[in-house]
Amino acid sequence: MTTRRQFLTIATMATTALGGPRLLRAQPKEILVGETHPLTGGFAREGNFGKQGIELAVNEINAAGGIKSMGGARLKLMVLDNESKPPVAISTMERLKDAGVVAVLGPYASGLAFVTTQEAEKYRIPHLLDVAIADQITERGFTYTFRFSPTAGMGARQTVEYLGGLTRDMKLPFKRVVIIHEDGLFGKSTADTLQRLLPTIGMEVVERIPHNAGAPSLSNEVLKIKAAKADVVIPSTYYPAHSLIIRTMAEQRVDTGAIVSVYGGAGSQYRFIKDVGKLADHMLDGNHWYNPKHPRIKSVIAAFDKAYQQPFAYEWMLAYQSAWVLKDALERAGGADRERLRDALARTNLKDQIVPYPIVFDDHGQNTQARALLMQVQSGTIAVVYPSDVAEAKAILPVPAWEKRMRLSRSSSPASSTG
Amino acid sequence: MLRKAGLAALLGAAVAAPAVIRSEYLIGTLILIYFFAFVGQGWNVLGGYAGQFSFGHALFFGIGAYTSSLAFIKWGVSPWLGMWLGAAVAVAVSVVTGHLSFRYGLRGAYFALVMLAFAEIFRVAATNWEWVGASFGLLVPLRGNAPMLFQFAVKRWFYYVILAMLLMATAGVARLQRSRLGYEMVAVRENEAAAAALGIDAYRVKLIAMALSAGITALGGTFYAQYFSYVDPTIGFGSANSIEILLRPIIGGAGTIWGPLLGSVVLGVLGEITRGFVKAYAGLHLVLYGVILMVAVVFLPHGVMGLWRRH
Repeated sequence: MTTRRQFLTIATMATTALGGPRLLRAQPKEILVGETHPLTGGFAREGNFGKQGIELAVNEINAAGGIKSMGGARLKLMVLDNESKPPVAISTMERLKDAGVVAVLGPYASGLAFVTTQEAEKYRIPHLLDVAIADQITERGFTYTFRFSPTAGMGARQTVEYLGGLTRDMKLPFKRVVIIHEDGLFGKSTADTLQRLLPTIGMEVVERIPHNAGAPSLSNEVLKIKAAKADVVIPSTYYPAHSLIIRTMAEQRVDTGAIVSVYGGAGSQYRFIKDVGKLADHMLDGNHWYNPKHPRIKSVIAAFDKAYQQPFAYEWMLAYQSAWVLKDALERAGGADRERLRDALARTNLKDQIVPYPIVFDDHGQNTQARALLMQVQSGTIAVVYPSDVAEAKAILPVPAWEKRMRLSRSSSPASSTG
Repeated sequence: MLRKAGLAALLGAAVAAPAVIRSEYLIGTLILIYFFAFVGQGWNVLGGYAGQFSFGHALFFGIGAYTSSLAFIKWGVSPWLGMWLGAAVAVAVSVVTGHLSFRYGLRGAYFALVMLAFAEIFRVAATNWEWVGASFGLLVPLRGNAPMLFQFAVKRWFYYVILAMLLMATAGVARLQRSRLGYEMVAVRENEAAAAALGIDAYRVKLIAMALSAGITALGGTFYAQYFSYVDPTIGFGSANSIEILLRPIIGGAGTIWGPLLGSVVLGVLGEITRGFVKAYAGLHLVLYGVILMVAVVFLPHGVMGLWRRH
């Protein structure tokens, strides 16, 4: 029978032996990383993609041992919903500042980024953007804002360049362009830029057709495309209208040489293919995308699909990438200090990333080497067709006539109901 | 006496708040509460006192924000001056829209809708007019800490500016309430025909209410543009903004001096609490917020101030 004293001795020894080493070993520190995304409101879908992308990246980073230069410190996310509203976006930045985050990721939309970047500058918090494409964001002289992805202007210039290269290589006599755009910021500014740039590749905008983003029918607009005898149709609009335009063109059998968009609402979106099926085929879109030749990309996409049951979408891919850019800078900063992190971010020089470009920031925090790619929907998958260093498929141009496509799809899949 | 002491204590607390509060988030939340109380007070003059429910006050808000920002961007005019320019333009526009509405006797829902339409016209026009930034809107160029240009590096100064604006608007409305014009407005609101029979020129009274209301709301627009340094057609003239503006005074108590501030405090605190408590499910706090709002509107038809008065 053990006495009380013996018991105490044994207990103390046991505690020292078992619990002791755990107490002595340094606890891995936590680095608080802020995130503001529109999880509700008009941008909820994209904002939640962003949140998931960052979550995935942070889980990977922590599982692989955290930030090694800081003794394996883990990243801890503080995620706030800015409700797609600028005033709420301001208050999320204030709360992140109060909480002492080392950096802020987000906020997907340009209208929100105008506000969050300004707050980040005020509080001297490094702010790494994921999507937010408006050129002006990195033209305001901010030193704490970093954007590794291409701007609206870069995407438009590059897409026009790709289109020029493609038509030249394939010897396609495309001349007449019709732009059908929504009358808000996104559609109109893209249309303006394209109208200015298209003559440089020998194309001419013969008609611009503005429409309201919420229009229930676009039959008349599509009739105008037919009347204009367009070689190339450029829809510059959000998802619902973009989808409606394609469906109406198919219904009215309006054939054109190519349908191209720049950051198109329904361009490079797997949900569009899910919604309209074969009608999506052959659509071209210049947009954010991954490098299809990167060895890691397939496993990243599979991991995302496993975690969230969602197909690939560039919104989460860019958010995912942003967390890795932050991780790299934290490694080099060697401490969770905002100033050191800012300086480290400014010296970022990443080559081998899943995005198809190196990541280097200029004095304005913009990655001038970023680029959009040109994708085409081919038999239900989105394939990169230009530029050639990353292309995974040859472009199919000119687009086959609707009549022929419908017949083909009917004969090839007799079981499918075409409605 | 007790009332005065209470008010003085509240004012003292408001002035001292930034010195005590270390949290940027709390200061920011207070700024937004004061801001919505201020534009709500603008709406209150027309909607509360004169009884003309406008669903398009974003019209004047947008004019204020756009005018001061454009004057600054295009001609380098300080927004301190620009805000009065914006108020002047808003007053001019309000007189035109007011004349068109009141001259043809539009009341109730019809007046509300016509104001909504006017705001929409301005939104569409601003969306398509290159000179005012079209659909992109306007980014106010940042000049660092420039108090003369209504730009502050520290949030505290925005706090004092909007606090001062709110105090002036509230004091102005308090005076209005006791003035002849104020009584005439209430008379028109309660029974326009009876007021006219007593010799009150209802058209004139409503037009003045409209002009005052527009001017105050436009000043709020300039504050918004300076604080956020970004305004676009939807932020400025959008119908969501019109609703934001009228929500606070209606919740707090339309046609009362303290209604807009009370409504703004209630909604502001409610919004932040629901946001803080239900983090797990994105959007749930908005549902909760909506439910509380509906309950408030159904059970407190005279706003929170009405609750007060019943006792």
